This record gives sequence, structure tokens and C-alpha cells, in this order.
Amino acid sequence: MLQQSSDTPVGAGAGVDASTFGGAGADLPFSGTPERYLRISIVLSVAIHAWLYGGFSAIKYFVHGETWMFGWKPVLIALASMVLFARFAYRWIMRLDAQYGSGSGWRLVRCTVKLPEAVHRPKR
Amino acid sequence: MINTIQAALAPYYLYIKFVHVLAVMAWIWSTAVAYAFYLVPIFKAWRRNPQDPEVREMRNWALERFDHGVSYEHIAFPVILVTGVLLYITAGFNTSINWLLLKLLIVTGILIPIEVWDYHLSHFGGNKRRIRESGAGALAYEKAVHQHWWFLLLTSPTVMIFGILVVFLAISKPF
Repeated sequence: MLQQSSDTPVGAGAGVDASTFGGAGADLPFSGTPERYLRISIVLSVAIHAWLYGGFSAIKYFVHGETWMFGWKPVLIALASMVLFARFAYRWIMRLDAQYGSGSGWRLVRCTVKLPEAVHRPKR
Repeated sequence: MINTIQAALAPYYLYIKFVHVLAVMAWIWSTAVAYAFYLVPIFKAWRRNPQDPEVREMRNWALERFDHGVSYEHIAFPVILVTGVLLYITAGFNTSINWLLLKLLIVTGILIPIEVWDYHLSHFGGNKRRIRESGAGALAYEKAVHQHWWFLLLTSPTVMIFGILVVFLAISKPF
């Protein structure tokens, strides 16, 4: 049963030591930044589309002797998909990493709990 | 050799397909609720309150449970690969089929590398419980958590698009 003692807004930290699961862990800042996410999204999208378009075209051309993939429509579709995915990935990562908004839709509720942990017995 | 396997498995094609589709369903959805309604809210709270030890405690516990819970997905994935190869042989598929070629490129070039990374993070060197119990220290544990968060940040949009695209290609066979 949860014992709720106080509510804390998401924006404010609360100071109680808790270290069972590494809660008192090192003060190591997370290395993700919006600029980094943007660069990664672009590189990720280019790499994925290079693999898909390049691999598809190479197999079609060298194995089956087809050339339709080099027409303007497939190339345009690949380029458009690359741009759209880069944008989608960037926005997704930013949203997932709480870079958008203030977090006011959530609050942190302080309570006392017991966290279940599996007991791992050594193998015989 | 291939013809022998093809002839032997042909009567079981639909059964193999059943196992394949069932494994795909488990692979796609088995972690969805834990991810969307537990892990993501907790990690967002941590990103907004990185110094809060209580939030970090909850984050760490949730991620350790997620390491364990992702087992269903990681049992399903090799089943998908094995039955996928069997279906490829049994149905006499080849790379002249456009939708199939694109699907195979997505699986081999995107999804398999993601899963290899995920196996490492969840069950092998990156497993948080093992790192905690090994006495490697708080810094090593924190680094492992950060690495897992990087993994989730980068793979979530990728899987969301290309994981669903694989299913779309297999069902609709659009080209």
C-alpha cells in the first residue's frame, strides 16, 4: 500500500537519499542536447536511406539487371522519405527526452513503497 | 538441398506462417505498455529532475524491470528470424519480389543491429542489475542507464516507422 506524504511539482527536485537501485548514483550529466539530436537524426536518416536505396538498387541492378530504380520517381521518393524521417526522428527524440513543454501535465507524488526485486539464485 | 527442404516443409507452410506472425505480434507489442506508460514518464521525470535521488531510484528500478521484461521480445525475435528463413525457402521467394527485398533490407540492416544492441543492454554487458550487483560502482551504473536511454531515444522513431513498414510490406505487398 502506498503512503503518500507530499506532492512535488515535476519541475522541483526533492532531497532524500535513496540508493538501493543506484539512486544516489554519480552526478553524471546526460550527454544528449538538441543540437546533438539534430545531427544524429540527419545522419541516421541518411544512413538508413543509403542502405535501403543503395542495397535495393544494387541487388536489382546486379542480380536482376533492372534499372527502373534509377528513374526520377524512386530517387525522389527516397529523398523525400529521407527528409521526412530526419524531421520525424528529431521531433520524436526531442519529445521523448522531455525537451518540449514544461512537464506541467505531470506531478511527482512522494510516497513510500517497497520495490519488488527478483531473487537470482546461482545455477547449480 | 533447397528443393528437399522446400518439399519437406511445403505441407507445413501455413503452420510456419502462424508461428511467424505470432512471434511478430509478441515482438512488436510485448513491451509497449511498459515502455509507454511506465518507462517513458519516469525517464521524462528524470530528465526534468536529474538531481532528484528519488526519481533516479524509481528510474533505475523501472529500467531493471524493463531489462527483465523485454525477454518476451527477445525470445520472439529469433523465432521470427528462423521462421522467416523457413517461409522464404518454402514459398520459393527470391529477391526479384520488390516488397520482400525491401523488407529483408530493413530487417537485416536496421532491425537486427537494433536487437543485437538491445540484447547487449538488457541481458549481457549492459544489464543494470548485473552491473549493480557486480560492485562496479555508481558511475558505471549511471553510464549504463545513460547508454540505455540513448538506445531508446535513437531506436524508438526508427522502430516506429520501419517496424511498422515491415508489417505493412508483408501484408499489403504494394509493389
